[in-house]
Amino acid sequence: MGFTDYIVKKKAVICALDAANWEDAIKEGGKILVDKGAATEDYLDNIVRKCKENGPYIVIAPGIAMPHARPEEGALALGYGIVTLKNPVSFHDPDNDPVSLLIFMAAPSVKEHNEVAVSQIADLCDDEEAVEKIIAASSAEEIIDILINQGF
Amino acid sequence: MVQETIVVSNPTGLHTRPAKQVVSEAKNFECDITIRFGEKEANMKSLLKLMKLGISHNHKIDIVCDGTDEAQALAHMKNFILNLEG
Repeated sequence: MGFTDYIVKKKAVICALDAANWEDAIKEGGKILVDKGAATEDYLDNIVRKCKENGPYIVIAPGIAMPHARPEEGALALGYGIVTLKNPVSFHDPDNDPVSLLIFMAAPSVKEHNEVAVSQIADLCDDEEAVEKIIAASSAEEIIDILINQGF
Repeated sequence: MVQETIVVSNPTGLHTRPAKQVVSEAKNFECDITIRFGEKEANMKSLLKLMKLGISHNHKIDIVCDGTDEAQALAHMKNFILNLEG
């Protein structure tokens, strides 16, 4: 199942999450992966730990983070989740702060992770118009409609 | 224009964290730097474009540099990618 199909079928969207900071955004927003059975709670802790160790490697474009860890760090199944934030947070990435959109990803193998999941998410993030609409959306349903209408 | 073919050898390929490092190195050069992978190509100075290629371990890629500092850029980027860890 591709990225959009997954998001639409599983309604894997949280709109306007109220997060105090980047760590909170990952731990609260990431519950979407845990709820859908795609990752363990440890997976989210690993993302936070790795960001502290390596810097904000998950921030991939202005305003957008793609929280993920390695398959063996708690991924259970291929899964995605879109989370928008009520108030943008700083990830301490001067080129891309502040972040308003988080696209969570879990994949059980490196191959799926890289060749399937990452490239699909990059396709969406490269469409600035779609990203702006998603960030401005006021409900999860609206975000799902944007994905369907943009043809991802 | 200069170019060279290499095989990506780090275990995770040009995945987010290594890709981000590659983009940041590429931005230090003036010339255009392109990665070709199969029939697709991407600007090496754009993380999203690079991520869209989905380059993994053992994939064969061409690095193409075009501009004033193309020779240095090619040598540096080739070594940088071949020495990526993780």
